[in-house]
Amino acid sequence: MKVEAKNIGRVFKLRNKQEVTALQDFNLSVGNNEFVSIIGPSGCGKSSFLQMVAGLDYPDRGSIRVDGNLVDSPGADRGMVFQGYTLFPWLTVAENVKFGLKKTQLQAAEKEKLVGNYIELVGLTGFENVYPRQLSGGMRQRVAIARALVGKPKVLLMDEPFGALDAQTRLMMQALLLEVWERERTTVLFVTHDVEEAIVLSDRVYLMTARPGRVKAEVRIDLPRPRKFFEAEFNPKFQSLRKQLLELIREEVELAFQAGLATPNF
Amino acid sequence: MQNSLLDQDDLKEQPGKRRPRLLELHRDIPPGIYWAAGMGFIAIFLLGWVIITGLGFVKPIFLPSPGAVGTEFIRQIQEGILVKDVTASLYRIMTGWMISTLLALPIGILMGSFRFFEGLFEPSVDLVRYMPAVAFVPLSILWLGVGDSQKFLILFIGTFFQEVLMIMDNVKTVPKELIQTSYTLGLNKWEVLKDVVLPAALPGIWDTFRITLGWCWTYLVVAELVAANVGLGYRIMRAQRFLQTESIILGILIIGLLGLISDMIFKFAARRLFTWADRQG
Repeated sequence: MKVEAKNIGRVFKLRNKQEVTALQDFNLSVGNNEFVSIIGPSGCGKSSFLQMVAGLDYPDRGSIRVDGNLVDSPGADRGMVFQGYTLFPWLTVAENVKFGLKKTQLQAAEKEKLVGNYIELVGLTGFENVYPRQLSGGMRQRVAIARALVGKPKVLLMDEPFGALDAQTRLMMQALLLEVWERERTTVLFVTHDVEEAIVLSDRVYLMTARPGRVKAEVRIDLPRPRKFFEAEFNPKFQSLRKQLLELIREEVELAFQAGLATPNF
Repeated sequence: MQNSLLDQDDLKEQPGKRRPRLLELHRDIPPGIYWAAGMGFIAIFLLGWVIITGLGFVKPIFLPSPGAVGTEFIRQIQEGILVKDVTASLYRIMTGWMISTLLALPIGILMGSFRFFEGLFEPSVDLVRYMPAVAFVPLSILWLGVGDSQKFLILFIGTFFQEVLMIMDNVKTVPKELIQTSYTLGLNKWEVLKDVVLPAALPGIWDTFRITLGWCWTYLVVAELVAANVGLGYRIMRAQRFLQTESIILGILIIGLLGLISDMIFKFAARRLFTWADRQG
């Protein structure tokens, strides 16, 4: 197992001293070179969990191991792509990607070569010397993906990376990620609330309950690979998986809605 | 649609009737009009000055004519007074501001980055920053005598305590996600501070430099209030004693002009230094 989370519990204390249980007895595992998605209603703790795997937050109970090592701080072995734009605005595209190699011992020439390769992989050749402010949202996320991948992390964590993009751009980015992943086969843990996105990209999908977040269902996506992004949704198997997941998630969204659970600002 | 804010609609419905609109909320106007308005305002002001003094509405002792101020300007240049004054004042301002900035920069960065340092320094800084710098003049003479170091101290008191809080705020505006990303790329907190927080906060810090240096110019007269025998502020205080109104006005104008020039230098440098940033002020 690449990532193994056992009995994760996390309670957030709000400012008014109320306590919110974000996660309870949450178990998850990701195999080597596996693409695993977590979907669930807003506020179910899926992003909090990803933060814990990254080492940016910690569980109150349970343990998270990556490659058998207990996670207790952030590290370059767990790359992360956020929903918001996180490029360093004072660095060009190439310099941003190269930033992902800061902690490696490679020769300068070796680094340049890797940077060029990954910029090509995300289709941004020709934009090496452009600053982030000159890029569209989709292009910025492509740079962020290249930057996270270039250091060859053991696992890539993606927290709704396309959530801020418009619908068309999102489709293009999903297609691109599918293509990149099928070439690189990096272990990925992907958080989203988009069911189609999860199915088309993943090998396995965890569906979470409304808060407190637990695993409601674990669904294997046995669509053959390599997948053709724009054809996948016409596959009858895709349709039945979509129906199954949407029904499961609807129950939870309704529960969350009835309970009036707004996402508290942690 | 008559009151629509959109030009396109107007164009479609009322061709040929579109007038340039100067008073729309937050709307750009032609740059020519923008500059002409500013210059025109100054011109009207000067014209008013010429008329009031030229027609003898006020006595020259209350408001001398622009010509008299010009004559005073030439006199001060010819006698070498102006160069000496400007040199002395520039030296004091630059030194006072540098001392303030060299201390405010590291302390402000620490306060903006670590809650501990914010908690440690903020109450005292908040307390001192409301104390009037003028009130420190007698004390500063008592402590440091009548030399330049007393002027540095007054400029420091006037600038530092605001500057340190502004730099703290500049550092705090660095997005949290930028810091988190850097951690996931393997950097430790000192590397994040050096390679991410600092460059990200730099345009804002630069703007703080610009604003605080401007304040130093306004504190110059306070710094040269007593115990000075050269400097632009001193010249104004001396002219007051002899009721040389034209010398006072000249001093004020020169301080204003030099302040404006230093401001423009910082703005110009920012445009060169931070080409990557979205927008400069």
